[in-house]
Amino acid sequence: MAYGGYDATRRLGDYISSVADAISAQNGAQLSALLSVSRGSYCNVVASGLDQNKDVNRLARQLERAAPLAEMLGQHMRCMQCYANRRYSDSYAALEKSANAFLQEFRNWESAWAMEALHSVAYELRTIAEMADREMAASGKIPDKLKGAGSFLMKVFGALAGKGPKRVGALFVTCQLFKIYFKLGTVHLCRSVIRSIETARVFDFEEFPVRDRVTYMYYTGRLEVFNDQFKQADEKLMYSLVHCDPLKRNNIRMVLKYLIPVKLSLGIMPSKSLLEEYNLLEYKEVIQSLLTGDIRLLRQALQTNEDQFLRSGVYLVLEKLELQCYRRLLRKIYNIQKQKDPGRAHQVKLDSVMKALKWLNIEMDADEVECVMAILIYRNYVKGYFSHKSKVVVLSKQDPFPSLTTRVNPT
Amino acid sequence: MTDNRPPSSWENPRRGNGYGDSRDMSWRSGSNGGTGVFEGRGFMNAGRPYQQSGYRMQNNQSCSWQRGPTLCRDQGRPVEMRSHNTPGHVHADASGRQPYSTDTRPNSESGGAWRSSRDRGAAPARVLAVYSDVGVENDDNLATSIIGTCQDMCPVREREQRQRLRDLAIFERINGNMARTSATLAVKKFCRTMTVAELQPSDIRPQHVLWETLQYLMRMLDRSDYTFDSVHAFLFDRTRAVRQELGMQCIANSQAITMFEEIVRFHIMSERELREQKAATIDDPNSQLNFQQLSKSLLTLLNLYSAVDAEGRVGWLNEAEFHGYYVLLNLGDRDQFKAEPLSLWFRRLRPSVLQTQDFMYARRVLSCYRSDNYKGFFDLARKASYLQGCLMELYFGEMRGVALKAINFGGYSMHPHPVADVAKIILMKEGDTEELCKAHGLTTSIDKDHNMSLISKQSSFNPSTQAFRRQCSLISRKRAPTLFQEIAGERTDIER
Repeated sequence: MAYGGYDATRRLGDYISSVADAISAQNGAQLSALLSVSRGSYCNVVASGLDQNKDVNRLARQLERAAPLAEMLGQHMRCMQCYANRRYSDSYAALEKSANAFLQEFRNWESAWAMEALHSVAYELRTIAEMADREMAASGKIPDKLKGAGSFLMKVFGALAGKGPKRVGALFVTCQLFKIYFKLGTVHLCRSVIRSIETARVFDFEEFPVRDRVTYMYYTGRLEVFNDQFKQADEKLMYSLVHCDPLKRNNIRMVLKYLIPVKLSLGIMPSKSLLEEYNLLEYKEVIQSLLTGDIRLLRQALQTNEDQFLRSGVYLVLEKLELQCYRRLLRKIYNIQKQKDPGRAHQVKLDSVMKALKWLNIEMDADEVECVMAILIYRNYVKGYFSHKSKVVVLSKQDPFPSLTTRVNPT
Repeated sequence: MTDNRPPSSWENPRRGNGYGDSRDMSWRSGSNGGTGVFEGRGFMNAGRPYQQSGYRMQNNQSCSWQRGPTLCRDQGRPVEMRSHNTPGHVHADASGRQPYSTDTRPNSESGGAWRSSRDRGAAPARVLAVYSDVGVENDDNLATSIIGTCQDMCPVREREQRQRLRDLAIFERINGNMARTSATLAVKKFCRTMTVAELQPSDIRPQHVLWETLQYLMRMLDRSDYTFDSVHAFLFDRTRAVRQELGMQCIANSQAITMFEEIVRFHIMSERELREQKAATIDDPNSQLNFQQLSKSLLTLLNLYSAVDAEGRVGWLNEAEFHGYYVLLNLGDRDQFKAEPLSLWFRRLRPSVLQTQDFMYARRVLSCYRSDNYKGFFDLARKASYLQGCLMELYFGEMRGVALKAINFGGYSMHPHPVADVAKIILMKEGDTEELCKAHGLTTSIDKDHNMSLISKQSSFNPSTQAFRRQCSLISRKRAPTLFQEIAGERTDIER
């Protein structure tokens, strides 16, 4: 309809004008809002404007007002049009061209006024790439858009990683990259960006926006968890937790999901109220088993929540807690013996341990029990020694169960 | 597809095999020097293996060498299935092993499953992805849409060229003549620098030829006239070419899966056989190359399991076995930024794999390894299948070191620990254990009960594991009577 068509064209013109105004005023926040696709409110306006547009030349003239981002805007509008029509692969393709044009201009600018807009584009690159990949997979094609987004964002990172006011935006892009690599399972690619952030002298970590720091520490903390580096994981995840906005409860929960297994490995138990507050009750039985030395309960808890733990990637970490469980069991036996005969309590027969395990429905022969005791001693979970001949563990009279947080792990 | 007949009936020309009359059968008949090998020198027990397995199948006895702790494979294959593998049937799975685990329907889509992907014009992208995203170095993979037409194990062009250049492997020569080979002996070499432009369909072998070639190659493993080393080198190269052509033609179906399974088993087995021959260390270049190809083939295979539609069945029969191998291969991966840590890899697994016996076994091994539970680890090793044992053996040195470390550290100094007791746990002979102690800087001595013992709290312990590598006879005993059987398992379609 002529009237509807005019309206759409006019609104498109208004949109382009707004962009032009934002550019000339160097208003990064405004530009960022205008360029948003998946999170924005202009897609439909742009899409219907383009759909109904008959006058290509007039459109081109309008775009010129948005110089020097005219080329970028043209591609970006195409991206929005495709997005509104749910053609995500096409949308991504246009977006990458738009982002490319944007980056070229951005590189030339002295100041970082457009940083927020650049971040918005980076966010959209990742988001729309994910949607495009899903679309491709569903139609039997190899998904490769997210991979492409990763490569492109590395370029963006490179543009920000130098000296000057732009560097403060590099961490946000880093986090987008982390999200991509984690999604694709190619976490080894995180290494180079991490090295840039952590070793380059141009970056002072505390200068980055807190939101980016929290996200960065969350991902690097998770990497440490996957590589069994618990002390480092603890530091990073704690940083993330401490600096996280207390109102962002979901984020806190995500950090806790990984922090709890780490803390458990260090012998620190979260309170039941914490678990309840953040809905992390899958850890309840695990913690219970550690407090009582109930190995059977630990194994059951792992099995019950196996899917969840495997999906979040903490299963292997939790499995390792079994040694701690044995330690607690041994300690319980020791405490019981202390009550009966304090003078001889420090000598624990392997037989007693076997009996206790049997009571938990766990069959272990003497050799295997001895092996576990040997490892507990070797790893400093327990201080003492064992005699193969007498089939007994002799605990040290002083501090037989050194604190888990401060023990020195020889391995 | 082809039925695999036992050696004794290879002289009979095949009938009704779907190849058509124009097919050159010369490389099959037993008359010339090629397959003579099967009757004469190499394949010594020509009659016996098939008889053995036939006997075993008829009586359904479990044999000491049957793979691993899992019985689900055998249990999953109902007895009735064997009747389907009579010569008249052309069916998708020529290997005789049912690739499907739980479905007991007769295989009615005979031939359909593997033909359909070739009938389609271009390979679906999921199949392309199977072959194109394997590993970081990707030099072997070219995806094309060519469908090969070469009917021999080696294309004529190459055969003639190599004859001219006298570039024939020992196994390809007629009577040792470096310049003469035949269609029955020559096998296409792996070529890294192939470009798509130069390829003709006559240079590429279609699926059924690749299958026959692979079977021919695998049967060479039991040759006693050449060292394993040389056979391995030949097979290493030629199976790589087979894999390359499967990739080039984007063949992804149950037979491709079986082929990759056999190749992976070959690589796993080779690791051990090579070590046995040479007492090679883990840094040996041959070992590293074998390892590399093992990883690549395994990754492609795992991709194939996901990409090939199991058509309504719960999963592939051997999928758990091979996922288990992946875990065992990556037990000790402490590489800080490995491409995908095991924790992340586990996320992607289907429950149908996670809960199988084979895979649970591998997970238990992983758990023992990570907790330094040497007793548990070696107990599991006792129960391993041969191939699982081959992989676990890679970590024996390390775990034995852990055992000695822990015993030395925590043992009571006044009560020496009898070496015999340690030996039993770590699967070594007493004498070897003594030597191992020495290699780790620990001295042993005779105690008052006249037992060789280890006195604890020695400060001279050193962790080196390089010095001592000896084969574990318990693992050796698990091996199937022939290497071919180890790779290909029982063939239910062998004629009685």
